Amino acid sequence: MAIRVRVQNDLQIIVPVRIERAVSPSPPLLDVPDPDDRGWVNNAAAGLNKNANVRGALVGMTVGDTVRLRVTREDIDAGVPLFVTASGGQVQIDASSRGPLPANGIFKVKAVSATSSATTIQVRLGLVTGPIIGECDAHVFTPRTLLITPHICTIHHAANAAAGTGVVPTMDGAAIDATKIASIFKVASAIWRPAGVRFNVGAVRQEVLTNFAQDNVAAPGERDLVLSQHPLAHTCNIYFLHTIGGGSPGFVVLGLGIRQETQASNGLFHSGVLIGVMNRSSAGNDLVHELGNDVAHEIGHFLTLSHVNLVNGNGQPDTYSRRQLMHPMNLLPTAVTPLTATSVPRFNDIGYGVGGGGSGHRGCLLTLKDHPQHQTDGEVMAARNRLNAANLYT
Amino acid sequence: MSMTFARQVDISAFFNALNTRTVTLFFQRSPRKPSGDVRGIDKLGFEVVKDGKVIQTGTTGPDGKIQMRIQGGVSTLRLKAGASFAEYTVSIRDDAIEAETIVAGQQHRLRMLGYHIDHTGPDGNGVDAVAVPTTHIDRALLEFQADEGTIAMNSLADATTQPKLKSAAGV
Repeated sequence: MAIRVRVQNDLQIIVPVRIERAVSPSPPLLDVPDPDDRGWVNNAAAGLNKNANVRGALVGMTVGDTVRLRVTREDIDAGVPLFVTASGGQVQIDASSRGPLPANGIFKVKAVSATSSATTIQVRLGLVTGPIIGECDAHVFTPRTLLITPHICTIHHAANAAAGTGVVPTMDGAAIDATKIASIFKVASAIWRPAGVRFNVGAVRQEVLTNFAQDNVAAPGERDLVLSQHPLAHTCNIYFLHTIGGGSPGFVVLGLGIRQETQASNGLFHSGVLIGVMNRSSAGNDLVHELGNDVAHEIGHFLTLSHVNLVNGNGQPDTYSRRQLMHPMNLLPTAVTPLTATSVPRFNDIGYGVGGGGSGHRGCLLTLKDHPQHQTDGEVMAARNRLNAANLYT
Repeated sequence: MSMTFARQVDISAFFNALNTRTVTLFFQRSPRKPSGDVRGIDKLGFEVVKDGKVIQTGTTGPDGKIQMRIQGGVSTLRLKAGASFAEYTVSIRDDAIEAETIVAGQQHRLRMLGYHIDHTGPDGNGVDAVAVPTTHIDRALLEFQADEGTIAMNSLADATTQPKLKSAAGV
């Protein structure tokens, strides 16, 4: 069907297609990166191989992976044949996607090498050699590994564990265990995969903590007691506990990610991650998604990332910020109703579905762009740099 | 004194200039007017059709520009896509563009610049003058603000964004 164009003031720019996340809304998937399509200006962060003339999304992937992306027809007929090609050597279009794009626009691309050459994925009209009508800038990373030691914590008020009444934190009523931890890390791994970051998750350790002020709760003054519970050196120790106490009114602390530089400001003497498993309204796969997102978010803090644009509390309300992994809230504050031209936030589901109570899940985008008007951009490169730093685990 | 205008023979639609106007389209890989970069779609073969007759043919250059003839208020642009065509039904809006301070004026400018605002509204171009932002409008505003580079990315067509929209569209 023809696209209708009504030309105003003798100027009409037509951009036929865009390249974006292959599946949305959806929880994070290992082979579905969330491209940084915040604006068309390239603004690739320092350290990335910038294509001077390529404007559009920047997409990251780990060498060796085959991922899915989607061409969305914004201003071109649904039935016109489109093809995808690649130039620059870092990626190849998968053999299954070298014919005309299917109706859903999804294609597969393989990250073949992390060379220094700039690489472009192109959308072509009509033929595999046809005019290039859309493009995105691809970045392939060699994987950098974060070693992780997960701990499952039972917190007792009593001095004697045998007499304690604290409980192992639960998911959907069942005690969290190594299998559930693995499902959580599967989500977190999918989120970090486009940044070329992989997790080496060690054996789960069971921790019993006694002499706390209350059963099941780590109050602010007790957080360091948790972080100092049998940490395995030279790994990121992640403690799954029932409840992290101390949220300000209206807020529940769901996680805490501490690195060397933020220990003192938090009154702590150890680095690591705390995850409060309980006090959540989601269930089933939504709960796994939510906890995986929280783990990924706190690992972001561990790798030096701050909250989006340095805004805490309810966080930035615009859709871009809510799509980002480092938005401070999970689940997201609900959209304003009724919606007006000046109201934000505007939508509950920003591409990752909704969790308990109808609130949207925080997104999973890690930024490749570095916009000048944004204070915390370039997250992928910042995190990757930290993974090579001497003080990573200190 | 009277003058007589005679239409050319039927097959000669190409020369029927009485009701022919020209509009400027830019096919690009990304929105906005270029600023030192190349974003036009090059080597795009096209033809313009009116009442089943081809009245114009050509191929775009690196700027993706097409000076398209519109006859009788509307013509069809066909981009060659292998053995088939991508079609655009193109007409001209002669109304003065609304002020950038109101929703319709903001939507028109986003559309003129190539941002994707869907195809709702009476003209099928996403301009519906409805103040409640859709996901498309929300995204288009954020993209415009990101591309602008100097204003907050807040998705609001606020007093800071409005003059930038006007400046970018040139009207």
